[in-house]
Amino acid sequence: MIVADRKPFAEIMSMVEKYSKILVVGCGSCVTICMAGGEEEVKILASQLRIAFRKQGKNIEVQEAMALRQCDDEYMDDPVLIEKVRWADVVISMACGVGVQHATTFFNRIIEERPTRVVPALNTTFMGANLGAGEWEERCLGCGDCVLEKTGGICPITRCAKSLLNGPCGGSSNGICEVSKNTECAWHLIVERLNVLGELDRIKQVEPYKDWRPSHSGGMRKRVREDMRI
Amino acid sequence: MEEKVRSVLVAGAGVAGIHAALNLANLGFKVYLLDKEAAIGGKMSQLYRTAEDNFALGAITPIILEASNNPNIQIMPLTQIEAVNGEPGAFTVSLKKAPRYVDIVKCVTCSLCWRACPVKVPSEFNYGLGTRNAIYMPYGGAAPNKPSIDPETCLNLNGKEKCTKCADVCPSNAINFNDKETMLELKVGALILTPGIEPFKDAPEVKAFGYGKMANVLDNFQMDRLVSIYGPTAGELKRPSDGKIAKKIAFIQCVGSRKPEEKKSGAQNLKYCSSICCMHAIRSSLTIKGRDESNDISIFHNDIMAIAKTNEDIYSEARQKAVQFIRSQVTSVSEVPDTKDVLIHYLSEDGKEADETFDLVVLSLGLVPSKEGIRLMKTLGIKLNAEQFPELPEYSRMALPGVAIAGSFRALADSPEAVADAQAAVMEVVELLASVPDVLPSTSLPPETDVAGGEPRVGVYICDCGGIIPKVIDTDALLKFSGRLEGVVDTLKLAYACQADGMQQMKSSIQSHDVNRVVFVGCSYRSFLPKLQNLIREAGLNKFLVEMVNARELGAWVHINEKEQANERVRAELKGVVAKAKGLKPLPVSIRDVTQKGLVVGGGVAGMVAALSIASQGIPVDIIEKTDKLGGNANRLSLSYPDSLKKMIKENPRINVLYNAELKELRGRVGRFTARVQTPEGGSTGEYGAIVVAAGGKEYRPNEYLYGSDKNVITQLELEELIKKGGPELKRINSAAVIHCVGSRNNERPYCSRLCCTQAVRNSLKLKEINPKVQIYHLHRDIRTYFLNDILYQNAQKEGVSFIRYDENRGLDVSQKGGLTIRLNDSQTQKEVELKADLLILNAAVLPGEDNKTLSRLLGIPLDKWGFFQEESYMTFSPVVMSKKGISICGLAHGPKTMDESVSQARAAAAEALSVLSKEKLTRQAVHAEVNPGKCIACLTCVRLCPYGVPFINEDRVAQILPFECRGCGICVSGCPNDAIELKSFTDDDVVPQIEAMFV
Amino acid sequence: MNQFEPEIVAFCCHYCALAAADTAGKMGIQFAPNVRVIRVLCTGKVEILHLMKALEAGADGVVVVGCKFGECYFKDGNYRAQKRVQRAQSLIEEAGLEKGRLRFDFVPGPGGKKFAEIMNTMTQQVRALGPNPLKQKQ
Repeated sequence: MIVADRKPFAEIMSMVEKYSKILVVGCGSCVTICMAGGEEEVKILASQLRIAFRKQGKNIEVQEAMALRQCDDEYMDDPVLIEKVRWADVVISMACGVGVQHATTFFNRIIEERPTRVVPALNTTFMGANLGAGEWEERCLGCGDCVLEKTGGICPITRCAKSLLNGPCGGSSNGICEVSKNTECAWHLIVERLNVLGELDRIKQVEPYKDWRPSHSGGMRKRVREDMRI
Repeated sequence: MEEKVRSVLVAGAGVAGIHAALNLANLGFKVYLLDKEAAIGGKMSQLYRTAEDNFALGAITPIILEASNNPNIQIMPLTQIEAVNGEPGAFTVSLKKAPRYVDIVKCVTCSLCWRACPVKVPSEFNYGLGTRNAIYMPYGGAAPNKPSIDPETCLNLNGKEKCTKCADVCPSNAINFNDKETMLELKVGALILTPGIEPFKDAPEVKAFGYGKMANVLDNFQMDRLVSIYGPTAGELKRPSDGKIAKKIAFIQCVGSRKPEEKKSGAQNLKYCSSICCMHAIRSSLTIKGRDESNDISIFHNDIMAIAKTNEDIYSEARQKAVQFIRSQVTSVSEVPDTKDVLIHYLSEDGKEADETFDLVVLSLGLVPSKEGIRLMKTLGIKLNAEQFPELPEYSRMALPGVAIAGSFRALADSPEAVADAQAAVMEVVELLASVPDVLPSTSLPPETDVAGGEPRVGVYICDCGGIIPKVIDTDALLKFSGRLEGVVDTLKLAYACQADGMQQMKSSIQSHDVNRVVFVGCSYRSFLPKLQNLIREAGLNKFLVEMVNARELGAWVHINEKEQANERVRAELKGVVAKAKGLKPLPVSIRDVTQKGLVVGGGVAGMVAALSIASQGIPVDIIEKTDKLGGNANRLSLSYPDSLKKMIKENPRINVLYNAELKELRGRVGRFTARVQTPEGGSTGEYGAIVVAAGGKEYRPNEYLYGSDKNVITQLELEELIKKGGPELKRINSAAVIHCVGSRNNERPYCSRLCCTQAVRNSLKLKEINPKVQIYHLHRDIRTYFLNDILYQNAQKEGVSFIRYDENRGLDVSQKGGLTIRLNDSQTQKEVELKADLLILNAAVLPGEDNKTLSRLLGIPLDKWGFFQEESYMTFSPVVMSKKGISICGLAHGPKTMDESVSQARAAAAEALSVLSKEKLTRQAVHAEVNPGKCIACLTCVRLCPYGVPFINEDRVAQILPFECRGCGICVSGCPNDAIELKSFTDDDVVPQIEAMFV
Repeated sequence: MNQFEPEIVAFCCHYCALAAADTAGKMGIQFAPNVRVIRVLCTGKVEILHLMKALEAGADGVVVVGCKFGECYFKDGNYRAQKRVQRAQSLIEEAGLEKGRLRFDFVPGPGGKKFAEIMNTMTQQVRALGPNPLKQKQ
């Protein structure tokens, strides 16, 4: 799941303060689950905006809307939503970076009479797991070449600050990473897990340097399933 | 023969009695709940914290309110049983009702009377600390929420003066000095007596320790009131002599109890242990330490009865917080003349004499059956044992056919056990009256008006409360104001809305003006809302189409000098409430079909008892037993009870036992569960309405003290088997040693296994019977023979069984050189002792069953940290109730307990199951949360936030909340990130207009 | 000019706060008449949005009154309410309002005096902040 965090209000405010008709659009998938961009957060941001503008004595209008996924055309192609977008001077997207970009492209394609300005309300932070209500942790970096089979199901690329492939560095002590006392050393976990799995000897195999081309280092990635495109 | 009736009289409305009443009402019985006091609640309402450390009054208030508002329960305060005639199913009970001198129909609980009363006497509610008036309520929230006059102290009634001060100020003419004692008769099918206990103040030792003579010697009940932040000193430990804050406090345990000696004449000390005082003292100590760590607390004690599963943790917490535990014998208590400090003289365990002075000394008094209870026993001809507790058949609460006894009057125990006991009594009564048809009157209510789609027509009804409210709030102006609010079609002012006239006026006005939403301005939400809901239902409206403004407690009484603002405030709240009322939607009765079949997991004694109880109501039951026979651990005991249960199970056509069976999967919720069970014959799937978990426990297999390598080292349960077989080898044993707490009360398993002390003492007496010459040594840390078991312990001592407390820091050493040799340090003599024994018996710990982990996951119910099932202890008292509705728990699966306790809790668990199984449909009409499946994205937030585990992801992959399980807090609603959950009657469409209208 | 009389919305839980309000009433403990009570079953239900809506509507302050910690009728609703009020405070602060306009407090059922104190404290606190600026600029 994509995890995001809301931007500081001042930053959002600076993006929209010159407009008088503002539409806040939430996204009903990942960012709803991570409590950053669902309907509740849309309403709260809208309320904050109304309070802030009224405090400044400005008469602005804020409307609210939701899309199930801002990264899919079909979910955005909703007459009520499009009507609101037409009305707005600026659209605040409470989706991840994917949604914001997709919304910009989509609305500008559908609404031809004038350009649509979409601004982000969230910072997209990581791909991670929900550890319980209100807690998320990064689990995958999207390196494009998964090594989890070798590492007992614990990703050293993501969970080691240095993305080391051949055991821990000197900064690991008592299972904790020197970068933060709240972070467990990924290699400590890997060794423990391999031990449980009876595969501890696997750490003796020296991993060659990683090919980072399938990762973002090779530029923007694209995937095609030919059989589905026909 | 008289016709049998499906009604039960419960005498004694403490926590046990109230629970019994609620259980019975829920099972379709008419209940009369009697108490000789003017208010219900018993000792629990006076207690500061419960056994589970909840705030006791807070915990009991909801059930008091529930009982007060239950249409099947008639509360009869100030009432006592005079005589009982007839037979089970058709008793005639003669009752005596003492005068209250206050007409509770007319009284509006305005508090003027007691403020006017000139009398001030010590308050019984505070055990003599603090004062009350002659007309009084024991505490603010007492139920019935009306005062009563104590004729002994009232100047008018005791004839001292012609005082009428209370009557003069009463706005509703409710005081009646001529009220008389009345006699009445009731027809009931059965009786449950829960008359409770009281502290024993007449014991010679209590008097010898200065109780009643020395100002700073209090009893543990008084101390509890002193510790209570709601007590007479608001929790400040002001000592009685001079009001100085006590910093150095001593508790003396077992004062006037656990004393085997008998005197020729006069009051005796008690022989037995009162079970609950150790934990009470420890809990009070922790509260006092929690307020100020520098408070110095000493507990002078003998054995510490930390017998419930969480107690040992609390005991060690107290030790960590530097509560001084002094194992000793207090020999005298005296007062220091100038300071009124209290000097304690004692012999410590090693025999040394010592003195210490304290600011305040608390005597933990023994507990005895209440006088009212003993009177009742005499009235009914129920035999009492030597200790004045009722004599009952084994494993039963039924003292006479149709008359059950339960609660602390039957056996001294913590509140959870007392409640389970009451539920067990309920179950036995229900079994007895199984064939009596349901006679609860079907209420003839008019059909509910359909308000959907129609315009809101709001009626605003304003109560003057006999002139109390208009003193501050201008109700005439308010009436005009309300008439101008949008949507309001009817307004009416009433003198007393709560009285019959007022109620009738409102009802006809609602009907004649086609009112479809009601707003009431008057008194407290908490006291009046249920009555108002009933009224509007009678007027043909859904109960939830009503809102209130409190202009009395939250108006006229608290803003006397700010009339203008107070009026403005009530107007604002009224605007808000009218706006909310306009949008209110009716809340329908939710209905869920019940599969009227029970599932019992585990075929031990607890499981068999639960199955038989459920089947007694004509409901089929499946038992899943993992072995090839019923009986469980009990098969190893020398008891005939398990065999008689097996026979009854075999003969009962409604009970089907699946042997060698294992639960593989459970789906569904309360009322409709689907269980997949694996047996050697294959898999099968069954539908059940409720489940009782009686999965049992097991005995620890020691790896200490040569167990397993020397055949003369056996466990207590193995000794039971030898006794059961009556083997000749026992005759040849000349010396035996018992080591207590093997595998429990240690770091790995800090809990006490509870049953082993008594079992060991009982078995020692049997060994003495088999061979009177046998020498037996008990090597222990505490002997926890709680309640009457303590007499067995005393008997064993008389029979020459030796009890040696060993120094646990040095431990025990068992070796085999020339026969079994045990070396230890005697903590009394402080000397090393070496013992030889032919037989070494280990009191091995009670362990949770090995399937508990799997079962916990399959059933979706939690385990505690030791692996036993964790009951829902928060705000419930019953140890059998689980957080997941439809599942109850009993026996060793829940924790160590005796056979009698297991049986009692098995019946209680069956009673819980029957509260579902006895109904074709579950119905509920209450505020609950509801998921909008169209908006739910199954993010699991509600599942994770709910304090009771109610929301679940259903087969359509969206969250669902069953109204029967939801308790209406709304925590999931405020947590839902997609606004997909609403709390009925408190939705955004209700609350936002209410907020906004207040500022228009 | 008279002193400023703030209008305060009080979300009160049914089980403790309203019991305490009843106790205050029965004991005749006087307190500031500036609050407008909204009954909730548990403060754990009080939504951030409702706190903000009250300020938007023109309330000078909002107080949420729940059970004493450890005594919530619904286990932990009051802890949640406290955290939620803290979050709402930072949200309104970001938007330019003083966080003192929101407050969480707790009271046990028999705590009539404490209930009155909470109402007085909140009234003073908001009186010191002055009127809700949104109201003036409407």
